[in-house]
Amino acid sequence: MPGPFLAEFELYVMLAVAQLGDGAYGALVRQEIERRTGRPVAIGALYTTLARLEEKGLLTLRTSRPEPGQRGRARRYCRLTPRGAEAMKHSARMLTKMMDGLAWAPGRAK
Amino acid sequence: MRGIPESPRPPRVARLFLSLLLHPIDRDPALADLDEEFDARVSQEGAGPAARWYRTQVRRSVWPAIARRLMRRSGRPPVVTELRWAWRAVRARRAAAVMHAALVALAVGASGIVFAAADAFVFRRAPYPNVDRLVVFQRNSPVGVIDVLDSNEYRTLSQRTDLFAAMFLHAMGPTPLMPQAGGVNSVRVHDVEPGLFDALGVQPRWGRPLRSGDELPGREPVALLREDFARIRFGDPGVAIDQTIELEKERVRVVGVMPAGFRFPNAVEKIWRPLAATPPGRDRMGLAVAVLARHADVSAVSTLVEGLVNPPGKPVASLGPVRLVPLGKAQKDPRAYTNSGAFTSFDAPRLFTMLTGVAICLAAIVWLNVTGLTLASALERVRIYSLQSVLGATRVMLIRASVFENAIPTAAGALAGVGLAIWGTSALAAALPPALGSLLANPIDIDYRAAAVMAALAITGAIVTSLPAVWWATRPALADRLRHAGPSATMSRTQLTARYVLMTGQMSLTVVLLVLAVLLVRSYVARRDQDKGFDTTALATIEVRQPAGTSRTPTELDQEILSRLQTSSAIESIARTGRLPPGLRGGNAADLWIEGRATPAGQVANTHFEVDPEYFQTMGIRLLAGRFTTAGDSSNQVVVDAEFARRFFPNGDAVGARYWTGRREPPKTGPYEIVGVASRLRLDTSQVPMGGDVYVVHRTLPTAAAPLSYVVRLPATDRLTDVAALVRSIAPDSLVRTRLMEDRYAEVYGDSRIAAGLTGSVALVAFLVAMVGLYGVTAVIVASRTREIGIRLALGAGKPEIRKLVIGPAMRFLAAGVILGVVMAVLASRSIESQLHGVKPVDPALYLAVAIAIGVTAFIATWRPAMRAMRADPINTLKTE
Repeated sequence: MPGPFLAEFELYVMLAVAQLGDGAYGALVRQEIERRTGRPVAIGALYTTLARLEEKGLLTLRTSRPEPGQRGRARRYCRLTPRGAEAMKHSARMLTKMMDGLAWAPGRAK
Repeated sequence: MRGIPESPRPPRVARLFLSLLLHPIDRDPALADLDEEFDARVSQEGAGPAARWYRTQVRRSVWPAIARRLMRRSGRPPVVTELRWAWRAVRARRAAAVMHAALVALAVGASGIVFAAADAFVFRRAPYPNVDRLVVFQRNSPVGVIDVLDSNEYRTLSQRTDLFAAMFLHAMGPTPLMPQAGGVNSVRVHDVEPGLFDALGVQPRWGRPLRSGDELPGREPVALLREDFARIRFGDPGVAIDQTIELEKERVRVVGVMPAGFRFPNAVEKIWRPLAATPPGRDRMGLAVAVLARHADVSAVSTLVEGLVNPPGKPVASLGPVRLVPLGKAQKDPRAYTNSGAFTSFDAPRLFTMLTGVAICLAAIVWLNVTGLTLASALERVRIYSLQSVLGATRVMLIRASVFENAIPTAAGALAGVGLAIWGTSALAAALPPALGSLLANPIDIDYRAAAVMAALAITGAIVTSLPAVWWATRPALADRLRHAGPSATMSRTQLTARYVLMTGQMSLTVVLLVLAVLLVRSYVARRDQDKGFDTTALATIEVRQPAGTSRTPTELDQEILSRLQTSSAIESIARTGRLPPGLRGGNAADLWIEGRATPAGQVANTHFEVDPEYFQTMGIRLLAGRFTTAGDSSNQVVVDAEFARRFFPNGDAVGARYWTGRREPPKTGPYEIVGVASRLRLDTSQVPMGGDVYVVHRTLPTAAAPLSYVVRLPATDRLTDVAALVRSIAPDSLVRTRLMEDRYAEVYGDSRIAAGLTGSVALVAFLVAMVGLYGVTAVIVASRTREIGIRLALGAGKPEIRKLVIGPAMRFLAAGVILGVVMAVLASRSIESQLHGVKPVDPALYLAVAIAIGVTAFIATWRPAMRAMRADPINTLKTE
């Protein structure tokens, strides 16, 4: 069973978390999406999506204690669950299948 | 040692705002993330760009943060779901939703228009900030309600500093001619004591107010302008300051400009000059506004004032006793304030109380209709509610969704209604007769706070009226019941009765509105069509007013106008007159002494019209006895009107009689010799006596007189523009006013026209709404009784029986509504008796006619659903069940 389908922004968040690995937290995820897609991301939208993904069981979130190295600030670290990783891969595969055959699809020889 | 500079911090207000919005779980880490990025951006881009980025983040996070707060375990915000269900439901019943919105728009629009007018005429006649402490001194004089004090009264009251903190005099000023908007027009000037506007609580928007000292002799004359006038003269009101304007006999310097909405004492004054605080002289009266002393109570002060100026034993002043009235409640009487000469018996509070009642009736009809629509909609959706309930929707969610479903068209209707009210109030203000509009210190416009309240009331009303229906339709037991029921919604006897009762209420209110509308229209037509004593067909008036200091004398101008118009093909005849009907201005009562009688025959306030010999023919006045005056007659040879002749010469011997008028013996004025009796000119429909009975007496206009006012008979009314253009070409620097005589009279009964127009429109709308509602009710009832009809048809029932089944109950409740409506109409008609002219308030024939009209239309409205029921095929009907 592939798991729930992801909306576009949810997929971006999951992919960003996957890219960043264990050190993924709110600010880094936001910057990663902006850097890769050029799409401006509001912090409020990001945290709403993180909460929704957590409710669906696709992510786990952990709020760290404020550390001196973090200048006394708490951080919300994100990690994909196995189900979340599977859903992310499934959505990415479906996307690829849908793009298959299109002249401008990435990876296709011109 | 220098301190370490603190690093820039994120924008405090934006951060605080976001911290309030964010979910508690997300607050700390989200703010920490933003702070971290802010620090990075400060070192890369600088504090300014970093702050801008921060604010953008906050702005874009608002909606997601709100959505996050609304999220539940289901992962989708329920309120958003309910809004979606509501929107889908509204789209599904598009026609009903549009009808719902249109009905609400009508109710809100009508209420808005009536409220705006009532606010201007009744509730907030004096819209000044300090109005609660301001009072005037009114008296019901024979010339109308006026706010004047004589010198003794002023002296007595102004010395009572325990009652009044201050007292200010004001007076009507001149009405100079000034160039405006490409032509010449008169502008009303009013003189006020410096400090009066401060007492009202209004300051100029530009420049300064009038100050103590401005009024002293020898000082440079100054004035305040109203903003709209300043814009016409100078473009920008700020530019007007320190400019001079000519007021025919003097030049004044503009020291301030009052806001466009400011009016004192009425709507027409546009220039205010300082008035010297000299008490009214002997035999002179002064207008006064007083400020109550700090702890003075208006009713106690009122009693004291009446005792001071009207003590027992003192003869009542010729202009009536004084009474203290709060400025906000002061009655405005056009007879005292308008110089146009048009009178009206306008009772503003009574008129607008009646119109408010009319608007409330319409609103009630609309709400009854909307409630019926909601009930029908709830019944149709019983099955859907049950399914949604089985799928997990709670009753609260369903009720909330239904409330949203009602609120959406209601909100749309309320917004449209506010737009309708804005348009309607502009149209009403434009249609208002000038004699009425000029009185308004508070212009007719929509108060946006009132509009917001009306819209909120509309939405609240929709929610409240929809709740019972939805509460019933979402009962838990209904789901079980529907498992054993057919596809059509069931309607029990209680529900049927509820719908019929709603319809009965609508019908009764519709009867009331229709009866009132017919009465008011009849009253207006009766006033309009009263015999005026002369032929008004294509009759027009011309008034010319020369500015001061022109080289041409009035006589020269008069002769030139006469000679040019007499040879013009644009008119059939022309005559000069010193007074144009229906105007009635000034005059005191006097005793009438008839030659040969020892005692006065009565008290009269004869209104003398000095006229050319051609006047009678031009006006079409009928000669009843004797002859008309001619050019050779002296000014003491007169033509009296028929009522004068009937009253004082009942034997028909008026012609040749002589009389005097005067208060003392021997009377001073006269003797007048009656040479003819003419038809009575109707001067104003109220025929208010000025301390005596009013009669029209025609005298010959002296040859040297140049009244510069004329009556002309036109070949057709559209030639009036040619006449106006011709007169303007002769006197380009003069104020020229041309009007049709019918329009002059229409002004007199403008209040009847407003009442008839508004009530008639509302009644027609209410009638249509009620009939459409009746059609809808009958259609729903037919749909809900499909199975019953099918069974009856299958068992052999004939079409007449089916028709009776469908139409019968509707007609019974309709009859009940009409009867109830007639009873209410009788009471309502009696309450507006003072607004009616020449019409009986209780008219059985009218009630019968309205009942028949409603009955016939209602029968037609129910016929189509009945025909559909009669044509139903019983087999197909039962199959679909």
